[in-house]
Amino acid sequence: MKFLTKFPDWQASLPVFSLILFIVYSFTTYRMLFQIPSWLYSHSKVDIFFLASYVFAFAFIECTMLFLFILLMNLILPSQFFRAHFIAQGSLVVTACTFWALILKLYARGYEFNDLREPFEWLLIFALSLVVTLLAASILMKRHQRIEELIESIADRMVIFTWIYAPVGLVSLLIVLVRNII
Amino acid sequence: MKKSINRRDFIKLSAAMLFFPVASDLLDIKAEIEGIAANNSQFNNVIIILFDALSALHLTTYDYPRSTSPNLAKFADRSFVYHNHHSAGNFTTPSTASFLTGTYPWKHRAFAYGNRVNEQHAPGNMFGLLRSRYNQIAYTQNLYADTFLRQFSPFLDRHLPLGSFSLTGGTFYDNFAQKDSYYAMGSLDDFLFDQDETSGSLFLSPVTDFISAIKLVSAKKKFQNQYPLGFPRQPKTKLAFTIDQVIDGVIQSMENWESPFLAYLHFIPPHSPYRPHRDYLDFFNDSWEPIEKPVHQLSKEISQDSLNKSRRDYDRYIANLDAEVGRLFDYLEGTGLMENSYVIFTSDHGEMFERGMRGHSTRMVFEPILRIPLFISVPGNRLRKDIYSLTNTVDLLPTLLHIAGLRVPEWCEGMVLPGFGAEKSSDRPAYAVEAKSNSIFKPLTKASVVLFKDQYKLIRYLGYKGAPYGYEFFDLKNDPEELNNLYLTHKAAKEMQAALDLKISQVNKPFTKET
Repeated sequence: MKFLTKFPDWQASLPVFSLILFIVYSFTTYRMLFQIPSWLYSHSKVDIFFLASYVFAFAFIECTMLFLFILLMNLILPSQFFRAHFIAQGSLVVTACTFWALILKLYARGYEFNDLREPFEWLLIFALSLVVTLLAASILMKRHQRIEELIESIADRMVIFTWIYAPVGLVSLLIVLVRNII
Repeated sequence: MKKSINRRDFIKLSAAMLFFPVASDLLDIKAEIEGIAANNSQFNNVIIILFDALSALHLTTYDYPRSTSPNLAKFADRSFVYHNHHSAGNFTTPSTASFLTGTYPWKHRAFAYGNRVNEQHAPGNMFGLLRSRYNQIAYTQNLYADTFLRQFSPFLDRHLPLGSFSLTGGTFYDNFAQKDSYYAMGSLDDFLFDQDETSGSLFLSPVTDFISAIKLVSAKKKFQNQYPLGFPRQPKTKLAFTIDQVIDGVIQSMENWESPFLAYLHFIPPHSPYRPHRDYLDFFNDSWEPIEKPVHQLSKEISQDSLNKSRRDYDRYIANLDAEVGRLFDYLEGTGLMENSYVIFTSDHGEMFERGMRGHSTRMVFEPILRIPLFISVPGNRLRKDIYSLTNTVDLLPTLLHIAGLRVPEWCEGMVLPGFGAEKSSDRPAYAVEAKSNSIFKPLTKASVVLFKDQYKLIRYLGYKGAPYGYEFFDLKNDPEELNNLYLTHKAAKEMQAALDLKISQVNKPFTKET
């Protein structure tokens, strides 16, 4: 039970998870809008329903994995630095990851490394950028309480989307599981 | 043949029985089969070797100025060589479906990337029809061809996964959803984790890309930079490979195949990206240049210099695969398989480097994209036979049925190939269809449709802006480069136009709503 106290409580976790859901589902749905015309040309409505089920199920898995990554950071980093400001720091991690993901998608698709050192250099840059973001945010939030309040209030507003995206994700996951078990 | 029915056979049989009511309707007999090898065909294997995007016009056997394919030429010297063989589509999905069903795209309706054969014609697939004669093995490196192999898997004894022999693992649908591969492929491999387009997954896709890149750089070290342009890759996937490893893998797998077998082996080279082994990078540094053709309205207006450079890379890649195919042929020869097998070498479609267009993702249907090689080595034959009649991808299925002593179903749109009992086919029409932007549920209204007859070729562009007159007409005998559009002046053009328009209205009829 003592181990559980190392994690943020439900009230702090929900806004961060909601922000992840909002970003992931918005991006995936946006990309899917480009795909749907070609699906309509060659798939029945039932086909499209099952295709969308896979998409939303994997989007939910993606959200869960990113949230687990943030929980891992929460365990690794000092609690005064991260857990005490979980909503703000967690939201900043999500934002930094989104930034990096978009950069990689836009400029590094299909990139091939020349030697084994390169991927670790990239990982180091990514980790450093996260640490710098969090440190800068921590300093700023200490000086200006309103910044933390602003981030928290944005994350808090995302909670409404959870009531749409989470059930869609869970039902989709169930459909995918059933189709692959039976 | 199997002596007893095990659980796996029972499941396959049950799946096949689901198709039976439709299949029995389709199997109305038309053709009287005659020709060679009918009596003992059950003792001969059939090995289909298909290389993706291999244009006949780039091969030594078909008089290409560059010596790209000496090993294929050697194989051709003991085969039936078809000089006027065309694909029924200009990319993998329609052409492979036509190959496997003996029908044109307007019938099987696999128009766009990732489509399956429609349910009505799915039972009439090669593996279903030949199930009683052969142990059937299938392998493809092409994601979209694998869609068909998945669809027809109830009839296969062995289906090697897409990622077999690759350097970087398997596909998402093979790893996570084998039971539901059609939807998993369409949503995961072809959308969320698509390697070639901007994928739908925001975070996981870069992570999986990163993991693949690490696997690749490890492989690069292992292979001591034998592929300076990067490893050959299976399009739309994260799968990389080396041609020699794939050929070795297939050879190793062959050792366990029980005769008589039918093997469908669909390799991805020389499909883009063109990445030959470093030994071939110095090839074709010559001064030869192809005829420059006018830029077409449907092209991407790529410069001729850029096209010539890509053509050279493509030719080098063909030279690379030719050497590996040579090894495969040596293995077949050494084990006696060449002597007791029908070995069919072909492609699904070609590739073009002219008129401002590179590759085959186009609405154009000129000869470099549609002319594909076809060499068939027949058991007991060591003499070359050159055949100049008009033939098409849809002819392979009826020919295989003929070889197996089975009747050709009436719905089949192909005919037995010349050399196997259909010598008098000079006046037959043949077609090719590109309709990737056309709904499979609706009549053909946005498509490029080709009618071949004798030496003539008529192209009709339906629903596309920018095509001159909506038709193009070429005399392929006197103008093999398709430089002179004779649509307005040649007397045969109107006759063929009437025939093609009639055909289109006939094939559209089942999809046209009556008012």
